[in-house]
Amino acid sequence: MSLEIRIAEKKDEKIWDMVVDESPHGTIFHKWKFLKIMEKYSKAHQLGKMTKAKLYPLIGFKGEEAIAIFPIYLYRTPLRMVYSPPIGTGVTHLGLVISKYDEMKQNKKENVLATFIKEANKFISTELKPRTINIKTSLNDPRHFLWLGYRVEPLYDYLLDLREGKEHIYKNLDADVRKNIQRAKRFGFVFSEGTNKDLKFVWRSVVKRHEEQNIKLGIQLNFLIDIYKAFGDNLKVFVAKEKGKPVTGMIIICYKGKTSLWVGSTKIKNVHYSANDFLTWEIIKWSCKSGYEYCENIWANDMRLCKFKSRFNPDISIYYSLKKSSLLYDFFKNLKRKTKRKKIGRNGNVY
Amino acid sequence: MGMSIDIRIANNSEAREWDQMVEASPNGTIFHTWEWIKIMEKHTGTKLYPIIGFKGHTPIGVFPIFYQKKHAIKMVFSPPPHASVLYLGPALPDYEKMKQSKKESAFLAFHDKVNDFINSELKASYISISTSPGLLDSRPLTWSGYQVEPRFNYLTDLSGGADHIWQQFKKNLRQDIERTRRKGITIEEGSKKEVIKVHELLVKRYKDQGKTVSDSKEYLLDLFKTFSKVGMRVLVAKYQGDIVTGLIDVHYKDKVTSWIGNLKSNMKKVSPNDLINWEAMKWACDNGYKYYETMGAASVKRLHSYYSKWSSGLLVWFLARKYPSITSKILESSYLRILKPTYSRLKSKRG
Repeated sequence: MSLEIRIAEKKDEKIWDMVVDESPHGTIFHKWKFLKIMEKYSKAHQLGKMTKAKLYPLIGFKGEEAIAIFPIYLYRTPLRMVYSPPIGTGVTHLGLVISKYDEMKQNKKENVLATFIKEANKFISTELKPRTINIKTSLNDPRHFLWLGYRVEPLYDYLLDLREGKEHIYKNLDADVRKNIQRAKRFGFVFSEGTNKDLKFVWRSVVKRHEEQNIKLGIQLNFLIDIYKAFGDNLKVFVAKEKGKPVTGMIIICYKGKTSLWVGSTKIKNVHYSANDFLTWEIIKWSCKSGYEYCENIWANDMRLCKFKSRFNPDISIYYSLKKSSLLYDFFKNLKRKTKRKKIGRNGNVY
Repeated sequence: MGMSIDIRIANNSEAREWDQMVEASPNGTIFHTWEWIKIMEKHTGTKLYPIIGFKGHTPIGVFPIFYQKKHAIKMVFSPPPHASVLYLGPALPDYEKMKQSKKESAFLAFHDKVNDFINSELKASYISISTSPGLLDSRPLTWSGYQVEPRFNYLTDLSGGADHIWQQFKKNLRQDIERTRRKGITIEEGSKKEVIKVHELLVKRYKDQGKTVSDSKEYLLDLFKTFSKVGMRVLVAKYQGDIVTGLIDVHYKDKVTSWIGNLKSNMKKVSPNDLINWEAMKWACDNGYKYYETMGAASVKRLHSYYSKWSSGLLVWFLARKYPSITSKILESSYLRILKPTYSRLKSKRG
């Protein structure tokens, strides 16, 4: 198969977004505007220096038709780094997507992947020349990366099937979640859709929770505000209020038949423990009512957090981390880990 | 606070209960059954520890592990090496019926207990576990310090029936199969004699490639003796009375697995390999099986494109390795990068 690969420009925005819409693995994070906003805010800190990201949006054409995209972020740090998704954005998967992938037969899927991944890998190693590559992809076939010498590891999200309706889902929640939902109602928590102000509240509560655990949150408030402005139809903020004041909240993504619990719902001091279960349940109910088929709870890789999230009885869905590093980069990374003992947060990019 | 699990080693009188648990586990395979694991123990120079986990009096899982001490290094495998079995690991009865939080706590508690046994009783320096398809969750292994990588097999969905699958094949493939039939190549089900012949073909082909077949004829014959009427078939392709290629399939629950053989024949212009594969798949359809799995090809770069045209998708399973000490990691790395290739080169020079 022959594919022509080049770096996409602003004029390609429409066809880029079409590939994202037509791919089963395309997410809102892959959309052109989202990628550009991430580029604006993403920075890497290495050896005492802050370096901004540069986006290289690779696009593959078969004849005239765009069939594959791969957004790559380069950091021209002393030890150059390539990331997809970029650092400090709270986005957990990105990587490449293939248009109409599920409609293809198995051998065609493999031909397209083989060609596109080979060319993308060649571009990364010969043009970008990084010391480390860090990709997270929902593509369920990472074999070509394995064969190119990447270390491939499984990662997970939780995915709740909403199609049987809220009564069925409620019945199958863990008993203590159902009790908490009732407790929360008796306590007087109220669920409501939030505004820009509530977006700031959610961000502040996440920052605070991270600070309590000695982690610096990479996500900036202005990044979230820009995303909210650009993707108003696809982003919602929900809060649980006590006596009119928000006590916990969540920013969710709505795209392609699925809602995703993206940022928020942290443990908060001096708030009744039932608040977060109540908020999550109300979001699930809202998703059912609004006709969504799935509700995703992003990041099912932290054992401690999974104990809470699994109680809603979701399924798990798999995605993959693809990494490749030079020995020199690994040496410095391990040295830093041993001297600083920082916890690796869900962005996976604290280093 | 996790689930409280006890483990003990099963004995021969519990073979029936063991097999019932394997049958009731969504990821239980023929390789997990009592007779198969005993035969693997007999022929691989390992010691089998068939572990059962209990919650109170209720058995909640089986986990066959194989211990070997070689060159003063203590190792634990599941499955053992040199048995041509790619996956094994734990099997949890009724796993798919459990709520998500219970799935996680049961698997985690059982795995932790087995891990403790391996570390404190067997004191292994190297552990290699491959879980079987149907167990999508590999997190308990990652959380307990294993390095986990995905592996893949090809799967064909047989639900459309043989005619439908035939129509889905590319025209070239259908023509190859018809031409092979017209040439007079026939496919027959064999017995002990044919198992020996398939083994001979394997030995010859590996010898031509400068390798040795690790599993013995006696191993295959022991398995055939036990499973020939209940879970194993040997097929051969014959031309003018000569066997040109052969295949050993296993069948269990709703799946037929193409296990060993189907070595490319040297015949020109015809394809006995395609014919034998098609006949094996047809038999699976005609006998009510839902899936046809091809063992081992999907993860091998050299073989995957031949087999991709037969399959409708991929099955994922996981290879998990642990090196409790830095010494064994260095040893494995040196073995794979230096000793093994050097030895192979020396062997092929000696001819």
